[in-house]
Amino acid sequence: MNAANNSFLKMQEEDELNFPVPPDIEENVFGSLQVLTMMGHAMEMFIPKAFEMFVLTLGGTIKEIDGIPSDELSSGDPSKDLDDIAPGIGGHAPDDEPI
Amino acid sequence: MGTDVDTKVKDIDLIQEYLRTKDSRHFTALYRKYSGKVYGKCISLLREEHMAKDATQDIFMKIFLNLGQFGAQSKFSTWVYSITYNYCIDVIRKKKKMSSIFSDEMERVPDVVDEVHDEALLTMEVNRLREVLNEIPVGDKAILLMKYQDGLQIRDIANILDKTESAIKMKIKRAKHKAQDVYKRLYPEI
Repeated sequence: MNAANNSFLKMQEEDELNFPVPPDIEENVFGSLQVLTMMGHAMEMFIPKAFEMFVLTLGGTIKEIDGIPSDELSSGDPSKDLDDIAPGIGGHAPDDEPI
Repeated sequence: MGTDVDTKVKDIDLIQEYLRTKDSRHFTALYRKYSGKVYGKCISLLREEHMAKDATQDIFMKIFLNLGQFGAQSKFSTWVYSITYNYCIDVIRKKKKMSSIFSDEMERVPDVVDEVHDEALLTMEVNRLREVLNEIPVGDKAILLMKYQDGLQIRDIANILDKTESAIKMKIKRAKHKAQDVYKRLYPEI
């Protein structure tokens, strides 16, 4: 049914003309929309990392961080870690060289 | 923010594109298509511009946040109007501190015998119709707007208001009678 024979539709048309939508509604809606979208992106980026941080903070290990194989990650034992450091670095004297 | 999205694109295509790309131009197109009608309904039901403005803003945020849940079982316009009516009804209910704006008349009022023909309302002079609708209870006004302005089916109205179809048929019948009674009171010369 069209507005020509329906007073309810005529009334709707008149109301839309007499009460145009204030432009600040659109600004507010799309401002909020942008903020929510940005928050969504931020969550997508940081939530997986936050989980890894949480696991590491509790003393756990993660098999791979940024593609580093787990056997190259710190074992948590400082003496072992120092053994892996190249001779002459970190206070170790090279084994074969006389002091 | 520029929108060069074709206004003839179907609602469902705009929604799917928006959900896929998150490009706000698609949502802008939906906003521009429906904001006038949503704001008009808010003005008509809430009858205060500042309340209608806040309501329209909240309604579009609800639409945006729930867009992924729109199932396309009904038309998008029906879904938008359903959010709009429920939001406005809730605002009025809270403002008037009522549990429901729809009185349970089925138990109290005897059955109306004579049917008011649709033409009596549809051909009413617009300013008179507006005045009549402002005089009847807001729940009755909402039901008449859903049926005659938005062209919603009884089943859709029942879903929106969470009532049975027979209850909605009865409410429409009574709302029409109230409108006719108010019309006769306001314009006794006719």
